[in-house]
Amino acid sequence: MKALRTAAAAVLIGVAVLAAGADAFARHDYAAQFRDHANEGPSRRFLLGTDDVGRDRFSRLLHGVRVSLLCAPAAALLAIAIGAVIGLAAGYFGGWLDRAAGIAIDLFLSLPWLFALLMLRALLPLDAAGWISIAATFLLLAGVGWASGARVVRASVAGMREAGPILHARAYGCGTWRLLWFHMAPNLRPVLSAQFWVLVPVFLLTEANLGVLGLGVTEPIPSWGNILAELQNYHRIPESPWILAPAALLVLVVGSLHFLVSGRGAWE
Amino acid sequence: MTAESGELLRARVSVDYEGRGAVLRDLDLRVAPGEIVGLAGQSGSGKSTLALALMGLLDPRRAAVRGAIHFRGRDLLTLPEREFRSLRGKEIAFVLQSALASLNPAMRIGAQLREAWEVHRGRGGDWKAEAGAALEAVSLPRDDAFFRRFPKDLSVGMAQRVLIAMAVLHRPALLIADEPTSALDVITQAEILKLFRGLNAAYGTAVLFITHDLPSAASLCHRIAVLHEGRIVETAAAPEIFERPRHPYTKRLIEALPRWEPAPA
Repeated sequence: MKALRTAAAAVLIGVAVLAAGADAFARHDYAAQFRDHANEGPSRRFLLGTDDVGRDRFSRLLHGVRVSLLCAPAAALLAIAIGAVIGLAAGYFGGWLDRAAGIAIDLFLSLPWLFALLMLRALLPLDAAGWISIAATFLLLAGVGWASGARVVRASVAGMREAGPILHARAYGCGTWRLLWFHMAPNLRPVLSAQFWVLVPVFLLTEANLGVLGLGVTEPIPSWGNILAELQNYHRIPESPWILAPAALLVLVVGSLHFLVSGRGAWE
Repeated sequence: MTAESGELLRARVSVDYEGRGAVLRDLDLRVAPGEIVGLAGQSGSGKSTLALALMGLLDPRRAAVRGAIHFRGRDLLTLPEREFRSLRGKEIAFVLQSALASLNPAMRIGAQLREAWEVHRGRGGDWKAEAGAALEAVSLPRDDAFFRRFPKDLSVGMAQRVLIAMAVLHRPALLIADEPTSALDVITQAEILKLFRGLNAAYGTAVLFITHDLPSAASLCHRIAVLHEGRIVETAAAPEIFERPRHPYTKRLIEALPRWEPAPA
């Protein structure tokens, strides 16, 4: 298992380095169109060939991975932050706040994610500028993905309310905010970090699903999802299998994340 | 209902737990300034509930407190939470039952003492000097090495002393101690009882000593109230409780005490 985890970490670090240095590793701009070389196979000039309009697949893949690897953890952070605030407030204050949060959590957990995201994304303009579409896509992910974290936090806070150190801190005069921030929040770190590592691969995959459906990040900015959209021309896969590279890399990265996360229990 | 002069605390309360019914029924308890009052009763008699009710720490979602708790003439039950909070730890202090489970395991002893100081005095004062004096009063070292320790590095007896040091940090008028000695061996127990006596003499702090251990209460307290099924059935000076118990429950408590008679040779 240790070798497997080392390999998984190596894969993630390797992909992260490639993505971070996309400008250096890729010889062509991700948006540059070489019309004379459209639909070419892999060559020294175009490592993964070119697409319909002659753009370098390798460059698009690295830049697309960079967008996803930056935004999925950012969205996961935002999701657990939302979840932590809602869970803390609901678990600590109780009453109507807790009931309202409970309903919202149940609602969000029972949403068919993909369809909800499709509907929300459809409300936004399809031709939105690239960076706006990136922000919108990942904000939507965070907006939908906070619920599981909130539920775990709410349960741990409700349990902590009666715990000795909390009672003691209240007895010597700690106010609510100090109690929540200094005495309860630090105890939530393991729960939140577990949530984070669960959400990152989920968000990577969800962005890919949205991208395949043409609803994620908009062209010309590449993302893992909209590169995969090319696979809709599945009849071309037998003759040009290299277009599977983004899908293979996604499986590799998400798989590595899962290996690392499930191994974490053994370290701690 | 106003507090009579010469009364620090006068509580007349009933507490109902959701789903469990009445835990305290028209309980009437007085503590005079500087007095040490023992509250004796067996497990489940409502001792801890009373302590939490007096501190305003019962979860309002699960427990309903009725009646009045007059402390220095103010009814704590109608006091806004903000004002009640400024009394907690400063004028009414609380020592919980399990010392090691009460200290925050993630905070150093110094950080906890500092917090207990700063929540009431802000950052202006010299918390270290005050915390040091409190530690000295409970016979603990006051050096930086001790401040840097975590609760897991303390013995139960030391942890209990830290808790008491935190409780007397602001020289409160009333100290409520909920079974502070029940987890300790007899020698440490005797030391802690001596400590309460000393703090009472030095600072004039009144003590409400909650225990199931009648002899400890008798050795420490001026008066003892016996709690049975949520009511105080008898209150008397410590020797009197032993010599002339009036209530049948008190008699049973005293008869249940182990006696040491030399075994016949």
